[in-house]
This record gives sequence, C-alpha cells and structure tokens, in this order.
Amino acid sequence: MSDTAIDTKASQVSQKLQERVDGAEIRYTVCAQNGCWSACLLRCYVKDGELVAIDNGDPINENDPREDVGITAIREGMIQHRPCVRGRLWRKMIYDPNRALYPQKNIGTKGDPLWEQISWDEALDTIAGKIEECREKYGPFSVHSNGYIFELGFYGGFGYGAWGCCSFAGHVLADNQVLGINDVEFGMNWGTEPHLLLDSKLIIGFGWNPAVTRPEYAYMMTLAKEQGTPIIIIDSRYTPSAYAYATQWIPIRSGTDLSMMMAIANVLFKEDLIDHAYVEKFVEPQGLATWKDHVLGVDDGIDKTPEWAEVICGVPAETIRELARLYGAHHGYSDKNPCYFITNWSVGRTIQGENLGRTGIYLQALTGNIGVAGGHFNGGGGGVASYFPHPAVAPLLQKGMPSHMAPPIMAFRGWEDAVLLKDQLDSGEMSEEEYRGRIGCAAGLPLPNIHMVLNQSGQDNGAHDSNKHFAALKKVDFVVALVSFMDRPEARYADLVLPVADRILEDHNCFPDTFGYTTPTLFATGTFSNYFLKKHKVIDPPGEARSYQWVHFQLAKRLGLAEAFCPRFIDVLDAGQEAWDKRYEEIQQEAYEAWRPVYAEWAAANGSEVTEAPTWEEFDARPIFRVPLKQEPYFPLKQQIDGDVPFNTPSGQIEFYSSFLADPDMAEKMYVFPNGAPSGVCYGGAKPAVISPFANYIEPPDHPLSAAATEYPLRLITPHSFFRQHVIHDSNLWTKDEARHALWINVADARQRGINDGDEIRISTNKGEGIMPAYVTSRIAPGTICMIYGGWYQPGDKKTALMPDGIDMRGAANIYTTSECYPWVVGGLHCANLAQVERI
Amino acid sequence: MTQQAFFFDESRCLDCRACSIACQDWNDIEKGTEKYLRRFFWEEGTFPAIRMHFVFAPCYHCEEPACLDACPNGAIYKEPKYGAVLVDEELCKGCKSCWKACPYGSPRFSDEPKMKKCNLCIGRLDNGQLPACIDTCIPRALDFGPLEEMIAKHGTCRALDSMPDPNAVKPAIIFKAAEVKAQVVSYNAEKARELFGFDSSILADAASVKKNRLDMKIEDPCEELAVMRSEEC
Repeated sequence: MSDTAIDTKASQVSQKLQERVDGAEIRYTVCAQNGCWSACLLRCYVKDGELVAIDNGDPINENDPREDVGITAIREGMIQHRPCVRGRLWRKMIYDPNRALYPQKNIGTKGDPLWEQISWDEALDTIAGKIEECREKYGPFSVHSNGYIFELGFYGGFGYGAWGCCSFAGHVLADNQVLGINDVEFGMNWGTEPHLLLDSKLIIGFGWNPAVTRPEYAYMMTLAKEQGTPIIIIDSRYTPSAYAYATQWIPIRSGTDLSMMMAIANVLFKEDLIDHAYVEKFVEPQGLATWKDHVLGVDDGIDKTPEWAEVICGVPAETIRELARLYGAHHGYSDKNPCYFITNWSVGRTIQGENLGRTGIYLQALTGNIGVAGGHFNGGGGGVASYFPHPAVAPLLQKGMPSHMAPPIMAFRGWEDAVLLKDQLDSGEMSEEEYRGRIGCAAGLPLPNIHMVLNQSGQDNGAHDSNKHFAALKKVDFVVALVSFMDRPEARYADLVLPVADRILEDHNCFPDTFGYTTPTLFATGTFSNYFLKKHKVIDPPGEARSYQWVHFQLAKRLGLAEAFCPRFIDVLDAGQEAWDKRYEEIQQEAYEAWRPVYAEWAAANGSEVTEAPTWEEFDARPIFRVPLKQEPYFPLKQQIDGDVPFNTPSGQIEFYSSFLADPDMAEKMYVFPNGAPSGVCYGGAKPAVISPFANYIEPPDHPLSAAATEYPLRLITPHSFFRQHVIHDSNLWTKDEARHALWINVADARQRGINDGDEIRISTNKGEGIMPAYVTSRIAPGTICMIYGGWYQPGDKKTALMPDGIDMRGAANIYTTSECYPWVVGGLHCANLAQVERI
Repeated sequence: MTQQAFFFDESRCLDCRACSIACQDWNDIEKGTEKYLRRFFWEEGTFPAIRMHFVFAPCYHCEEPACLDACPNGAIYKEPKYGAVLVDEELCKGCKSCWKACPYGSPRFSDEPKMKKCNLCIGRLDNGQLPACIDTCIPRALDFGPLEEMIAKHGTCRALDSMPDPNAVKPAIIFKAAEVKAQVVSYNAEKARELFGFDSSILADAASVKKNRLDMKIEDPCEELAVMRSEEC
C-alpha cells in the first residue's frame, strides 16, 4: 500500500469511528447513588433520542490521564471526579430487554405473577383508592412505604416512622452514645475531606474496602500508599483495597474483629501506649476505668490478651501485639502523628455491631486520634460541610406544611414481623407485650396495622432475610412496586407494578429528590466540599414509564393533596413529558439564579479567587461548579478538641460508659441528646432491654467457633461489588461478561468438600437455599465464604419449606442472611450468617 | 509519525474494569468475546501469602507488529499519524494468521470471520480526546502519549512478569509492576495457617486455584472470555 493510500484509509477509519457520535447532542448527568457517596459527571452522547455513548464529563485537567498536577491542586480539590465502572455501565442497563414499560396488574399470584397491562389512570386511581380505604378502615399506620414515596404520607395522613438506622445501626449507637453524634440526621457533617488521608501517618482499616465502596477515596489511598504511609487492611478477604493499597494485609476470621480490637486495647493499657494528655482532657474517667477493667478481665476473669484473641480471630498474637505497638506510637493529639482507624460499617452489620463501633471509637480516643486532622472517629455518616453555599431548591417548591409527621412507632425493620405476627396477636396466641417487643414498638405508642405496601426501593432483596420480606409482601392486602425492570424481585411480589424512569438518565430529578442538584453535604458524602453538580435529563424513558416524582404527584392529585404537596407541578401533571421537563428546568434555573448573588457575596467575604459564578447558560452547558479549597480541610469534632465546645454527651466528654443504656427503663425511652435534640433512635420496645452500657465481649451465636456452627460451619459475608450499586446493574449484560458472580470459598474448605473452581454448589443457611458456581481461591480466609451482594433473586424449579417460591438460582445474597439479632439491636442490618456449602 | 503509547501501572490498578467497559461503550461492542480491550488477572501463592497480578491488554500497537508481517492479504497496516495498527476489513479474509503471529493474542475473532481490533481510538485522538479507556481510571493507573514521553516519564519496562518477551515486536506500552507487599508488623504465615486450621499440604497443590498463571493466547473466544472474567469483588 502506498503512503497516500494508507493516509486515506486511516482517515476513513477515524471518520467511521466518530460516526456514532458525530452530530450527537451532548448532555450531562450526575451519577450519584445511595451507597457510593461520590458524585461524578457523565457526558452523554444522544443521537435521535438514543444514548449512544457515555464518557468522563469532568472538564478539569482534561486530557491529563495521570493528573500529576501537584499536591497543592489535590489539596485544593482541583482534580477530576472520575466516574467509576458503575457509572460507565449505565447505557447497557437502561436498554435492558426487561425494562418495565407499562403499568401492569398481577392476575396471577404474588410469588408467581402473571401480568396484564392497564392504563396509568386505572393504576393510579386504584392505588389512591386503596390508600384512602386503608386509612379509613385501618387507621394512619396501615401503609408501609419505602424510598422517597413516604413523604407523601406526611401530607396524606398515612405511613409511619421507624426507629433506628437502616444501614449502620451498630455504628449509630456507638456514635451517639460515645461521642454524642447523630449520624442519621441529614445535613449533619460527620464526613471527612478525602485528602485528609494524606495527613494520616498510619491507616488501619477493619473490613474497609474504599477501592470499591468509596470511589473518591480510591485515588487518595493510592497517593497515601505512594507517599509511604503504612496501610494495614484487616479483612477476611484479599479485597481490591488489600491488594491495591495495603502495605500489609492481615487476614482475619470473619465476625471476630472485636476480639482483635480488644487485644489491641489490652496491649495499649498494659504497655501504657495511651495519649494521656488527650485522655485526661476529653475522656470521661469512670467509664474508661470500667472498660479498662473489662479489657483486662477484672470484671469477667478473661484477660483479653493477644494470645486470647489469636485463637478466636486467627491473627497470630505476635502480629496483634506489634500492630498495637505501632498504633500506640501514633498519637494524633499529643505527637501530631495521627492514625486513620476505621471499623467499617460492614463489620458492624452483624450481631455485636454496636460493640465493634464502640471499640473503634474507644481505641481512637485512647490514642488521641478523634477530632484531629488525619485522625478519624471510626464511624461516620453524612457529608462534609460545604465550603461555600450551594443552590437550594426546596424554598422554590412552595410546599405546604405536612399534616402528619408519621411518628416513629416501631423499629426500622419491624414491619415484616408486624405483618407476619399480626394473626397471632389478634388470636391472643401472642401477648401484646411480646408483639411490641418483636417489632420494637414501645408501650404507649400506637400499634401498626399494615394492609398496604408502597414499594419503591430495593429493600426486599436488598436487605437481610429476603424470604421474610417476601412472606410479608404476600400476606399484605395490596402491594404496589415502582420498578424499572420486571425481573426485579419487588415486581414478583407485587399486585400492581408501575414502570418508572431511570433516575440517572431518564429523569431531571436525582436521588434523593433534590431536583438534579448534588452537593457534598447531602448524598455525595465521600467527596470534597468544594463543588456541586447538576444533571440534565438525558433521554426519555421507554414505553409509558414516568419518573418517580410524577407518580408521587399524580397520587397527591388523586388524594386531594396537590396544593400542599406539589403546587408548582399541578398545571404540568397531565400536560405530557415535555411540559413536565420544562418545569424542572425552570426550577433548576431559578435555584441557580437565586444562588448566584449569594455566592458572589460569599466570595467577596472570603476572598475567593472565583469572584463570580458562571451564568446559568454557561453552567448548564457543563454543570459542575468548583472553587479551589483555600481553607483548612473539613473534619468533624474539631471544635470539641480545639475549642471549648463540649461533646454532646451527658458529661461533655467521650463516654466509654453510657448512663442512658444503663437505665433499666431504657426500653421505654427514646434517646435525647443533652442539647435537647432527639436522636431518632430508640433501643427500646424490645424486651429484655439489656444492652451493655459499654462495649463488652460476648461470643455471638453466629460466631464461626460457636456451637451453632456445627450444622453451618462456614460464615457467609455479603460485601458490595465494583459492578453493582446496591442492587443496581445485576442484570447488566456488560457486567456478566466482565466478572463472574460466584461463591468465594477457600481452597482448603473447597478441597474438604470435593469442590473445584466453577463447580455448581449448593449453599444453605437457616434462612435460604440456592445454587451457584464456586470460586475456589486463597483470597479468602478458611472458614469464611463470600457472596457478593446485589443479585436479584431468581427462583428455580425446586421448592422447599424455606424457599416456597423456588430455591435461589442467582446468588441473591439476602436470601441467606439473617434478621435474627439480639433483642436490643433495633433496626439493624445484618449482612452475614452461618452457612454450609456442598458439591451437587 | 509519532508513535503513541500506553502506560499501565499495575501497582495502582484496582481491576475494576472501568477501562474495559468504557471501551465497549465507546466502540459499541455488544459481547464480551468481541472486546478490543482485554483484562487479565491471576493469583499467585497460597493462603495467606498471596498476591494478585493484572494486565491491561488492548492492542499494544507494536513498533514492529508481527501481525502486519504475518497477514497474507496485506490487510494490516501501521497508521501514519499515531502509529496505530489497523485492519482493512475489506482485505481481511479471516485466516487468523495475525492472531497466530501476535504474542499477545490481540486480534479479535468472534462470530464474524473478519478480524477486529483495538483502533487506538484514532477518531477520538483526531478530535483532541484521549482513547476511551484512558481517563476512566480512578486510581490514575493509565497514561497515554508519545512513546518517547512515556519512556521518559515511566521507564523502559515493556512487559510484566509472565508476559511474552517484548523484544520481537516492541509493544507501544510501558509497564510498572505492582510492588511485593512489605511486613509492617511481623506475620508468621505458618502460625496463621495453623490458627485457621488450614491444611498445609494444599500448598503444593497449585492446581487448586483456578487462575494461577497468565495465558494471553486462548484461541476459543468463549474460553478466553471465561479466563478474562474477573471475580466479583
């Protein structure tokens, strides 16, 4: 071939490659999802209404793959927020063949549905009618709703609130009792600016896998490793964080982290490796003395030494001792040598989770690492305080006051038992006191009487013990599911299905309902404080699918609530998609324009080099706004350490011992912070109300070395994956080609059972049974097995007592997890269980 | 011509596969067997002394491409602006000589008889953008630019452990290998195995772990896909 011929040919190839995007309309969306805690801009190429490609939409340092922009730029937050693989997967997901396209009613049975298409009017009229019927016949606490649809109940006089935290109840208890922190109150800033990891001199993580679960931390951890910070990851799996960041991985028997942490404390006490100046000033001394006695075995005769712990947790005593010494040489307060220490939420999502959360805080207090830059208080929900004010949509919506505040009447995950045990209560087989105890409804509170479910989230297969959820859904009179995919388990157990738009690509709104704006104080909590984003609707939803909010507002209209609930949308409710879209864009613009002078004022007062925000048109063309961070990076509890602000605990200090939990009447009370703020958390209702006032060591029943482990000798864990955002993307065909969804089992455990890699195996727990392939590996500790969370239950033909609709054929982790817990853990989430595996 | 080259930093790689998904998205690749950008991983060692290996494997657009010389139909050529190795589908007869010659197995043959391959995103390059895979990388493990610049910035390593000898083809990629883990605190692996009740006789049984070596040349696309597939983690 001649050179000219090659030139021509190459330029033809180049042109052909660009054909797909030539002339495409560019729109931007924000990938921000519950549980990823980052917020990234996706650039979307749309041609003839079809999404043809997605790439990285962040304009800063464009075409600089390594972003070697220097430490100053990084500390100023002037680097890209790169969409992770979950953001890159969206195009395949929304064009999935199982999209829900029409409202449909179930003319089969729940569990084995048969669908018949109906009109939106019929569907919405039916639902509104059922809500009114339930409210009238069964009272205000008769409708269970989840996802953001529950807000409608505040205006409509139905629905109820719940105690506890749906996600990290153990850490919530720890944070509010020990530090006076209310994790579950939105807008409270308990997050830490990610680049503070670069100020830590040592990083220790139990079960912490930010490579997967905190995309924004991923690059900071890489940099921390490269600057030479020792990073110790203690995990029963060799996770991406273990291989990519950890200087050293220490495998541990799953479910035994507490013993190792107690042994670390034991060494700190015995070898006097305490940050005394910190402890004397900030730790309540009597509680500390009580806990020290427990660690040294004065109260229970068990001296919790590394030698004691190694038998339980599988980490050699010598390693525990050396780690404790290393840790004890990192006093953030007195020596400015801080350690970032975290027992991740994951390790707390188990029986005794509250003790893991508490012990993590105790350790960080003993070493002076709470409220100091580069330290960490161990738990953490909520975001970082915004560096500058952000646009606010809420005031523009002109909503009325809600009429019904949906008071908390039971535990967060009490509704299934409330439904399933109701017959026993009614027949007198179960006393009211016991019923209240089982669902976490303290005496004196109204009892729920659930006859309808509005199901908008993936909780039924996305939270522990799915079979219990499914059984409750079957028993409830009327279940509505808002879904984007008909193969979602929530659809299988519904009487009526509404097809909803995908919130990333087919909606102006985002998660949560912030009308397209995403800021680091809200759900983007693992990110920097110096930016915010706004999204476009990228494409129209398929078929007759409409947005979640359109459904909520249509129901409001039918219930006569539109004037109060959605006044700005009344005129566009029935005016078609275009008018609806336009209204969102108007509100987004109004919010932005109202904010611009607010920003200018802030910039002038703070001497920001960005004196003015771009015009709406400029911003909307690439909707990310970022200002170099010129203040000391945000971390929580700084005022308590540097200023004279007391901790929000009864003593004003860090409390190892909780007087509230020691109160014998605790079960009837909701915890109220000393400053008068309600905690939203109650450990009561359940009897007996025994919860140790301090973190103690008791061998939990799902301990891998416990007696219960004879029938089920392995311990199942169910962590998050790179490829799913909670339950999202399970049916994405791209992920199926990219990664195998198989059960992790150690080579020794596999060999004992005659299992080879790829073999179909039967996995069973006391909650469920199913079949999936085995991943035989040395990347997991012996005795622990791992099923990645997020699979959508797909029933097989074989039915059993545990699996009345068919055994699980997909590896849907929550089929196997347990809702059983100590009675005092209210509203907790349990991501583990004892299990057995056998070759088929 | 300025030969453009990749840089892959194994020590930063999470194996999250964002690069591979971005490639499929941009090139509108339907099936995994047709992927232009392949990813390999394998495990070394036995519990608890293990490590992971990763390879980023698009076509390396070699300076001296063996596939080009091997093609009996003159269908493969070196594009003059960026040094991309491209295929003329009209001339390709699907004989797979290129696949046999390529030490890395980069030419793609799925359902269609004609060869397809990574095109270095020359369309994006002409448009002033980076190849689709490059700026997906959250830990910034990838770099891209003129080969001379990549060598100056990142060194001269042209193959990771277990990869084919690069000297014959001179792939336009620089590698940095993952570091071997240190012991910050002492750790007695033998003692740990004992505490876990791990049967040490398994140590000798390398076959008990499925992916314990790198194999970049697997002729059957379905078998290759199964090998490339990572484990959800």
